[in-house]
Amino acid sequence: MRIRDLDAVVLRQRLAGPGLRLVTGPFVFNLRSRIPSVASGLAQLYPDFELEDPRGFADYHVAVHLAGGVRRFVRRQAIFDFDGFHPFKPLPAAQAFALLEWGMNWCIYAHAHEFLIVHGAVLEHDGEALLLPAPPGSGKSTLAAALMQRGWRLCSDELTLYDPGAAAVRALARPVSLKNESIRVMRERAPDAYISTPMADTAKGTVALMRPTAASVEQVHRPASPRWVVFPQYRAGTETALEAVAPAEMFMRLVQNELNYSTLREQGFRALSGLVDGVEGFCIEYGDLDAALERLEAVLGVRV
Amino acid sequence: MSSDRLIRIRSNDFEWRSWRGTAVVYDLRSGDTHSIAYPSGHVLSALHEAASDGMPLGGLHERLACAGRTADPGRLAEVIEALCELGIVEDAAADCPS
Repeated sequence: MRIRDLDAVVLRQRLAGPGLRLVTGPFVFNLRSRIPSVASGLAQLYPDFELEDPRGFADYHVAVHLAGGVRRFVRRQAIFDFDGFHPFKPLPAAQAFALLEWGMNWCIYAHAHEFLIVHGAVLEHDGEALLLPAPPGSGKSTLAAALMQRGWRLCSDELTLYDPGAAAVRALARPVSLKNESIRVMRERAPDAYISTPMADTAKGTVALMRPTAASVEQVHRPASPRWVVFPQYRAGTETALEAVAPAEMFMRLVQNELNYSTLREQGFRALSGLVDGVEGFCIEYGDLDAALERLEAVLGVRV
Repeated sequence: MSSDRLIRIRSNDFEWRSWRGTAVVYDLRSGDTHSIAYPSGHVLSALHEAASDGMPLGGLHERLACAGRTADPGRLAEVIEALCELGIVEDAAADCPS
């Protein structure tokens, strides 16, 4: 069963009751919330995602609910709950769905230490994975969204999950988090794609989420072999420049984007070494998305 | 720096990898990761083979030169100094100054 198979009433009831068991790649989340925007966000952004049997196992039990007390009436706030623990400060209720997204990311990178996790997007073509590690504001998600629209399979927008035992990247296929100007850019480029109503004044500026392609979600359980690591940097008005990055430098730049390398200690070092062994590294600075896509695919030798 | 100086790698405290002669080193005690310039990877490879016996600087220089690696004494001295400062390499006879 997939989320699209549930009608809106049943979806809300599940979320308000025992929870919705959402499968995202190797993880099952039990999601609970009575907030209408959470239910509608799931319906719009996750329609193709599998649902696990409600009696089955869930890796993470999470909820987003409204704060009590005076906050029920004045400047309503949403709270992310993980097994009764609140890892984040409350956010305005209008950002409830973004809070769920960020909370789910946190659950994975704070706990899933069977993977080496790097902050970055991953796309796949013909079984080979393109990793785009980068800090927020680098144009990573814009590039990832545009590549997805060109036919690449989206494995992940925010979290690169590298399985060192299998030397493979695992996919999550969750929505792409577009920020600020990239929302307009992607709306113009992909008028048929679903992009959520922008949430203003978040910690990351204005944020909107873009639904992953159905093909990306359908193939979410298919691992991909890392082949390229490209460090993107958007700079308005610049010409596209793409250069090779030597392995040792690539290693250090991946460390700068790590989410659990420090936690994994020497296992993380070995895992990251193994990742670097098998890939070609590049950095790309771009001001024009079309030129960047063309240059990138030419250098990688990919025709989608 | 004397060519007789005997140095060795402290392999129990570090893990390292080398690509094209540039090394990335993980400090098992502190959890820090360091990138050290060329030819640090070749230096660590040679010292790794020599194990706890260590290797005289002169021998190290000759070995790198024979293998077609950079033989610039100044560059090699800088790299060994960096490796000593990080505690990755030590004098086989006495500790490197830290």
